[in-house]
Amino acid sequence: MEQPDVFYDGSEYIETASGNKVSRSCVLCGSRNIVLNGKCIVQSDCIVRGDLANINLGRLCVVGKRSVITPPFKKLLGGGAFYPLQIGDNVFVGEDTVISAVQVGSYVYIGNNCVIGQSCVLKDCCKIEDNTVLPPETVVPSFAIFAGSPGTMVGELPESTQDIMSEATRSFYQHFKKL
Amino acid sequence: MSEANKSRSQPKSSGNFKIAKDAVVCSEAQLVGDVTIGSRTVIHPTARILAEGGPIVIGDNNLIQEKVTIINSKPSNVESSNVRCMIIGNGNVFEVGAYSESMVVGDRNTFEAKSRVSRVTAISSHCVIGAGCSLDSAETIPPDTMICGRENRQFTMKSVHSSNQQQLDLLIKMLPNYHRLTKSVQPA
Repeated sequence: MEQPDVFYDGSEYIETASGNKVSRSCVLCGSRNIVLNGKCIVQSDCIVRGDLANINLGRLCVVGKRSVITPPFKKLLGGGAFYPLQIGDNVFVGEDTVISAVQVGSYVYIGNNCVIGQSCVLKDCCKIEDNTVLPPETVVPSFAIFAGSPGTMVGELPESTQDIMSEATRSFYQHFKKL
Repeated sequence: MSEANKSRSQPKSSGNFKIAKDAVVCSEAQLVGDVTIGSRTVIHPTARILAEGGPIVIGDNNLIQEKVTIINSKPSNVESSNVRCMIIGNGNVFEVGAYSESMVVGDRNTFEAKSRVSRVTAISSHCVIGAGCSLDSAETIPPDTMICGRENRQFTMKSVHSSNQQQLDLLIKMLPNYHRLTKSVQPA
């Protein structure tokens, strides 16, 4: 049950003072607008578009390979705007996922190959299964499991999800070791 | 940090580009081959426009987001020497991760995230190819069609004209502040 060690090439990742580990192959646009709050892991070939709006990742987040995190665009009467994207703590994002949500809560699990549509809101402690497509402006309530295309609620998570996710992300970080 | 990445892993653009003066093509996008890009078209970083089997002509006011691949692929039978030009019309939106090999794309279509359109499909105007949908059949998708959901269900939409102009205008103002842009290749 113990998380196995995942080794990475020391030259491939940059480790910051607050323990963030970011792959050098990531495309981080507008990096001064991207805030990683500590002990985040951003794996290879991710794209984070801080040039469009601020992007804030909470502590102990894990972003899988080739994922795209981009702020949503909202059409407004006086001309549209890109909204800042706020991701909570202990969030696990799978590989090849596209996130255009306006807010992702804490303790959220997002699977592989998902599409989180524009301006979605994911509340704390929810789970998005692999290959889900969430249409724009979907609100995913706490403790919900969403799957399918279009994403619909398929199940509920137990109350211990906060502890499970917090332990899972912490353990992933501890076992993410330099070769 | 992305400066360090660029020198190490950025794929090189090569070829003959004709990019309109008011188009915004980020230098981190990869353009290969004979590519023509119309005015006020925005191409985000990590998009790939690959004109391998022939030229690609992209019209005006298009929005091509990250990880989009638009590829005019070399036909599998090497004997056929006809070079076909891929034509993409005006006002289209290619969302993140869309993949298009379609040789004829009309105007005001939306290719949502992670959609795939094969070489033999032709798209007319004002269609929406939903997120994650893939089109492999040799047909022309009629105008005002929406294709969505896991089973690729097809609907006919009422003609609602929503234009992307707001987003394009904002991007044309914002992107040059953060990215170097690719300009036309000047004739020698």
